Amino acid sequence: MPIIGQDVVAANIIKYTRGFIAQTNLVMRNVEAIVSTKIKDNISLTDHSLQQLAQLNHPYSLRNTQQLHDPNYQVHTQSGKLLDSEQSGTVDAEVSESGTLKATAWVKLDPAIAPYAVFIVYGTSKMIPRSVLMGSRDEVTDEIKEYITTNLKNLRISLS
Amino acid sequence: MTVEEKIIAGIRKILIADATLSSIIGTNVYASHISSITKPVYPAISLYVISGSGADYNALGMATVNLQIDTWLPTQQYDMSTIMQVQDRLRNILHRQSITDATIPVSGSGWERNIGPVIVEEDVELLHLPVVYTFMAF
Repeated sequence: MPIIGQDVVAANIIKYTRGFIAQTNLVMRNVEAIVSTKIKDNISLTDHSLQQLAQLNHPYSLRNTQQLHDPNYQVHTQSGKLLDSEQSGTVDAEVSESGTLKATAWVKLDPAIAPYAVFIVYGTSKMIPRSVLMGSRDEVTDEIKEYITTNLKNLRISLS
Repeated sequence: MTVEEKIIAGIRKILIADATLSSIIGTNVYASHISSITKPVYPAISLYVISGSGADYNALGMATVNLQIDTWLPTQQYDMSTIMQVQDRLRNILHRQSITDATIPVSGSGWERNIGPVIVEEDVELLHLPVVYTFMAF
């Protein structure tokens, strides 16, 4: 028995896949924005100047570790370089031959702009770590899961 | 004893008992961040519960804890190969391994979540490798 219409089915599979990937890329750009905004919020505190932190006996140091904020990985803006170093992006989604979808959104603090960022995030022998990248991501994880589910579930793409 | 303290106690016991790690760091495994220790002895490992990710209790009393495990080696005595050896060993004994210990008592396991860069603190001549693990235990 001859098989007919397979070219239409194949074309529709390709069309659907391309539509799904395009939507995934759009969703991931918004996920990037959610994470990036949260990180910027968390490295933009302005309620304590360097002078005030000194008056508090350096609350992030071994001499007098204390929790100024909740969560305590939040960072004050001083020169503004840390905020300037925040960069984000996405990697275009792709489906592997085995059918696995891979989509990536990333945010980083560029050490070329703020070389001390690594000391803030991971701490030093004299200063506690303030895990602002991982902590910020964890803060918005539930929001991101809900956003992805809402925007990729029951996706409708026009086929021929 | 909170679940966080039990997890830290369990991990500290595992690290001290490991022959490979103890040949490098001895028993210098600190249960809080190295910056909180008065006159720490190096080489050392310190354990620090990352803020904002502390014990999250559910009906079973299970807690999820993100822990930064920092390795500190004096640059005059150690190089990159040793710090990578420590990281490999940590992975072997902690990643997807049980931290169950009836004497503490703690029951659970953990997995490696993030490896930081090797950081050189030039003023105090220290190599620093931070790795982050998530542990689920009760």
